[in-house]
Amino acid sequence: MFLNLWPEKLPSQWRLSLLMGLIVGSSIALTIFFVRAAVNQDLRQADQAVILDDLVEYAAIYTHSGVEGVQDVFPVGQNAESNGMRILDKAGKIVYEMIPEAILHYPWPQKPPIELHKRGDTYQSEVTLSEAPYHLSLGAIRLHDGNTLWFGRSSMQAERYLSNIQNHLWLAGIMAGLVAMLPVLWYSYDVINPIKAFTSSAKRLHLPEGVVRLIAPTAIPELKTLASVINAGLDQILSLTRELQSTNDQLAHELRTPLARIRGNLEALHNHTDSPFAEDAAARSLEEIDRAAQLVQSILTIRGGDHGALRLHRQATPVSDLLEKLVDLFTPAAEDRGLKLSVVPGLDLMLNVDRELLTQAVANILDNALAYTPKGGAIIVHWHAEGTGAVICVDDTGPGVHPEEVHMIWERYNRGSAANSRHPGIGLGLSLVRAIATAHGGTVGVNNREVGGASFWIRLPQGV
Amino acid sequence: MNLLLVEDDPELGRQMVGWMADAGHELQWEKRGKSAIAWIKDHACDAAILDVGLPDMDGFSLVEHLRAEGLMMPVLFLTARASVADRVRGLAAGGDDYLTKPFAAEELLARLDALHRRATHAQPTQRKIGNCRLDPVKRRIISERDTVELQPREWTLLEVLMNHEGRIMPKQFLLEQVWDIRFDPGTNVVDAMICRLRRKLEIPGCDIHIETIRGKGYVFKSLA
Repeated sequence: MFLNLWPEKLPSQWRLSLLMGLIVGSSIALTIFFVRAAVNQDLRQADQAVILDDLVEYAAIYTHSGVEGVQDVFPVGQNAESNGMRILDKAGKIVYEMIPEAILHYPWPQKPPIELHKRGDTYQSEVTLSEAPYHLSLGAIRLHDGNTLWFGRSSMQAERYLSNIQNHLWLAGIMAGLVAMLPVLWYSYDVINPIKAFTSSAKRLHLPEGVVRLIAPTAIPELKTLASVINAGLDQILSLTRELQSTNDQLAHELRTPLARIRGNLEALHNHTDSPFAEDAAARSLEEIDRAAQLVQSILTIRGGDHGALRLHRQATPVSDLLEKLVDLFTPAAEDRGLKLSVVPGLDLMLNVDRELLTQAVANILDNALAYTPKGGAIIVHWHAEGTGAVICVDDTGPGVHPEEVHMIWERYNRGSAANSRHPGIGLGLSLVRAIATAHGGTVGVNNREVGGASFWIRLPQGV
Repeated sequence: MNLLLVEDDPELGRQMVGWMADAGHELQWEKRGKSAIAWIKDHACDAAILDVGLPDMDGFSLVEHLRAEGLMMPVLFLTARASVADRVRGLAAGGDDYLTKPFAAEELLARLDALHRRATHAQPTQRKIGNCRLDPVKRRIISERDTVELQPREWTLLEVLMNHEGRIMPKQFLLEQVWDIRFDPGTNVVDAMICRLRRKLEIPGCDIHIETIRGKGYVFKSLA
């Protein structure tokens, strides 16, 4: 039950405030309880001492000046509200009485107590009434003429003292509670706020610029240390990423320039030779060169995408437009293979993505689907919104993916067991798809459909 | 066309001089950005081919310099970098087209041709081919005996091929012109589309041929 009062989502400041409140509140409650108990006892004893003093004093006055003396002195010397007096003769007749209204309703003794035997004997007792908030302490003394003097004192005065002390204790408690909120404020400003700032920075870490750093000038030293350690790591990642980008560019240049030279010379050979054999050889070589150039591009894109070093050129792109164009492109080739390629119209979704790379990713999945779906099959492209992003799916009626290969097929140079010599390739297509999705902060996957065939999907966030 | 080539790679430069001569273009080959700037001051030029990575300055700065001088001829970049970001940078600097190495000679020629047509607002697609009349509004080919309707992409493909009649059109050039795609989609999508177009154009009295040249591309020929 306590755990229900401590929900996980409750912010830490509130938890700490609750905890501090609980500590301060229970301390005050305990203090008040014990102080009350102690003071109550002391006041009771003090009341009894006061009663004894007064009994002796009034007995002395009575001895000296009789009832008249007491009559004169009593109203002057006593608190009119809480003290009362009654003098009884031996028969129990009231000789003199002075009881204020506030304590009149208590059962005042009608007789002398039997404990008093000789002059100067005293007796003390206490009367409580269930409906009255205070109790009445009573004392009796046997006077020199055999009469009895009852003196009563209500605990009203004592209770006033007590409630005064209690009020001050509460005040002290509230002050202590306010002081106890200081750690909460400190915790909130120096710990929670920096952590929130870290979180919002960390949310932007996937951005390609990679320049986001954790900043919290007011944080506690431990958090500052954490931030600087993480920032150092991020700096290192950024420098590695930059290095990867520049080596990628370098590699592209180093590989493409010689390929371009060879290609040029092959074209010259192709155009100027008279030998049909040489022409055919040159044509084949030209095709190979183009494949090699494409391969270099794919490898560099995969390398960049997998390591967050791919430069994206994001544009607001309508998903429907991109997919319809692709289906349009592949339709003649699909029809030649006896396949029905279609796109299911869906929501108008705009994504902020690198249009060309995403087109290439979906094209690779379509290329795959066309290669593996047997004649007479169908390939369906559809999409739906997910959160602020989208999921693009390509369903086919091919052999599906072996469950053990569901993760493997996305790796470089891995081809599923459905691959065969009819479909040449070195297995870069799907890893390129994954690299492009990863570079966009998205994911890829494949499910086998219940009706047979595979469903490849790319899940993409909205993009910033 | 009078062309300017700025390329520091001697082998590529030599090859391009040969291709341009074969195609009947005048080509001035400069190996440095500075010397290109010096040459262009005193010479007219219909289009410029700039390598992005030059020893003394990069091609982007060179085109910015040319544009600042008020020279507005079409500029085509040659580069070993294929990323979209690089291409966007090139176009933002004032370039008109972007070709990634390695490239086919025909691709370069076709692109230069397209740039030149755009710059000079060349004649629109012709309305008559062989013995057939073309109806671009309804995308139809009308011969004496028959009428064939084309899909929008088929029509665009036919237009691109016709505009470069007799020239070899590389697959990549067609992909970009017709489908706006700058990568190889793997599946023989262009082949399939060409075959389909060919079948549709097999109408009597319409002597249009689209020839496939292995390793190079497609040539549009009208025999009539």
